[in-house]
Amino acid sequence: MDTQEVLFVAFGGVAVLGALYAVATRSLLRAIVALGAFLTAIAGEFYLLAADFIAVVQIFVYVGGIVVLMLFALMLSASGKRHPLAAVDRPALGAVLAYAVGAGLLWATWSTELPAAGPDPADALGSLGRALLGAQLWPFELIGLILLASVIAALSIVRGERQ
Amino acid sequence: MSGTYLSDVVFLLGFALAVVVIPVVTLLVFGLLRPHNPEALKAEAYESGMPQASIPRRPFHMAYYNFALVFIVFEVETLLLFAVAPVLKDAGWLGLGEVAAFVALVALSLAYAWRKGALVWR
Amino acid sequence: MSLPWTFALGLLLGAVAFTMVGALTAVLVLAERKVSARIQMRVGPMHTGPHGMLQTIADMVKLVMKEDVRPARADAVAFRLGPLLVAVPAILSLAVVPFGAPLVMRDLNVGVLYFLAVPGVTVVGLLLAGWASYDNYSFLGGLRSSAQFISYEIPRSLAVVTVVMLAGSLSTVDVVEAQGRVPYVLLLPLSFFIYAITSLAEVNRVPFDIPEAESELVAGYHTEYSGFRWALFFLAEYAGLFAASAFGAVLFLGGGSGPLLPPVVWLLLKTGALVFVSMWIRFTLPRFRADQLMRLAWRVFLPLALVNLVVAALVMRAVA
Repeated sequence: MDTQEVLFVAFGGVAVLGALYAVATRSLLRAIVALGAFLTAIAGEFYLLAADFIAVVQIFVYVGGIVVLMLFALMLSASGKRHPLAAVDRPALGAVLAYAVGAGLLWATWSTELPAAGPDPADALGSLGRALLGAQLWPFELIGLILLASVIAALSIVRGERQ
Repeated sequence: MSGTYLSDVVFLLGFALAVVVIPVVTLLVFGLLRPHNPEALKAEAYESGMPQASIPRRPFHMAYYNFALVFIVFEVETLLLFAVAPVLKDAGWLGLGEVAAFVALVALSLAYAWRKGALVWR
Repeated sequence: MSLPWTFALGLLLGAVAFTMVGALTAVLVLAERKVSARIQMRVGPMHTGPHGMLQTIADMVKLVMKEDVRPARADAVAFRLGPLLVAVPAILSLAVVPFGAPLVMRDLNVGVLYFLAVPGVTVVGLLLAGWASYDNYSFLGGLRSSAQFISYEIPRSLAVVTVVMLAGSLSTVDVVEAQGRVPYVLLLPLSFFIYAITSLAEVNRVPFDIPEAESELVAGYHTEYSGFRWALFFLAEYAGLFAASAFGAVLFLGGGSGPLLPPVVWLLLKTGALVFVSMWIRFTLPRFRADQLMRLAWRVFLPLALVNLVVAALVMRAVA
């Protein structure tokens, strides 16, 4: 195995360990921190796959945003000491669904024929930008629209709960 | 331009390792030199010299959460702008228009959040 | 350069960066005390060493030797992780600063974005530190700091986008080169203004320092920390101040470019100027209330940054 593969496996190992810890721990706070470690490892994987922009986006949005959001939610509801599953209504059904989805994903991953990796792209960032303004223009603008919808939806949920 | 992605990662790993290890080692090493006299009073929280009156870990204002939510949305939009910004110079008026449309959507999100009072503190 | 050597280089430069930040903090703290003294018509520390120059070193030695007091009910892991997560990203962000065009620790393709993204992890550290201390005031300080940080992050990033537009690249070295003889502060003055003010807020400097205000929440999220752990927060603040100023010099003042003197010197001079201005502001203006602060971010700076985006795009067309 060359260095790239070794590092890839290493990051993957950290990611898996982080994810396992996040699911297994009793403390919601530690679960969120473990999730943060997981997401950082994934960012490392992205970078190794020549997707440096995505890697940085991962840190920016996921670690700097989603993890923070989760911590806010945790700390503002003061439920740090409760077991993560304490709030679930029907744990048995949830478990069945989770395992089913997990198995489905694993099967899909294993049975897919992935093409061999090519050489590193010459100007990945430039291609991305040009694509967003060209061939992928509709997705680009659509994302703006979806984000607008997200703001509306998120705010109505939060405010609805306050009333 | 920089080197390959792999060497970037390797470099950053080394860099991060050094930056993390130095304070940790310092803490441990000087831990041996430090005085260690745990006393019950020292372990109490500091509230200007009085016994701790506030009780932490109880439910708090949700306003902070609103801001974090809105923050995520705007962050994703900002990152998309970062993706197109480097090539905007060569994208002509059409590219400019496309970005302007996107920015208009962002502004709309801001306006909505504003009207709904999500941007008020307490 | 082969990979093991790259790793070793990373290791070395990481150590260099950390040491540099330590030394920098010593210098900046002293500078700050002297500047504030002059503004307040006194002289500042004069005792330790010539003109008080060894003062901070003495302070640091004292700090390291202090007892590590930990509140009894603090969550041990979070308590220990907090300061690390605050200090490490601040120093990591220095890896992409070009100390004179070829002299950059690592010229990442996405350096500009890296610089903005990595400090975001600091917020996690702030929340952990505030929460772990098991004290309402620390907790509140952590929350406020975090809310402030994320609120100003957007307008700040949008101001930086305008620079990327003109430079055509996310690499810090490219941004310096693209400016040539015309620093972007001349072409994008509003962006510079937005960047400068939001950066002050990002590093918790007055007038945005309510989370650490001495007269308010005792010391906010780092109330319960002593000795070296506290020192880490302190280091992070000055590292952040230096990084933000250096980055500002790179984005808007042309980085290391300038006649006669070597690029490193130019960059340090420009950075120093920005740092000085921030100190000046600190001792001149009163601080903002928490709600004023948040209102300013979302209702003033964000709309301003969006408008500036359009203006900058037009400037870009005009200059191209």
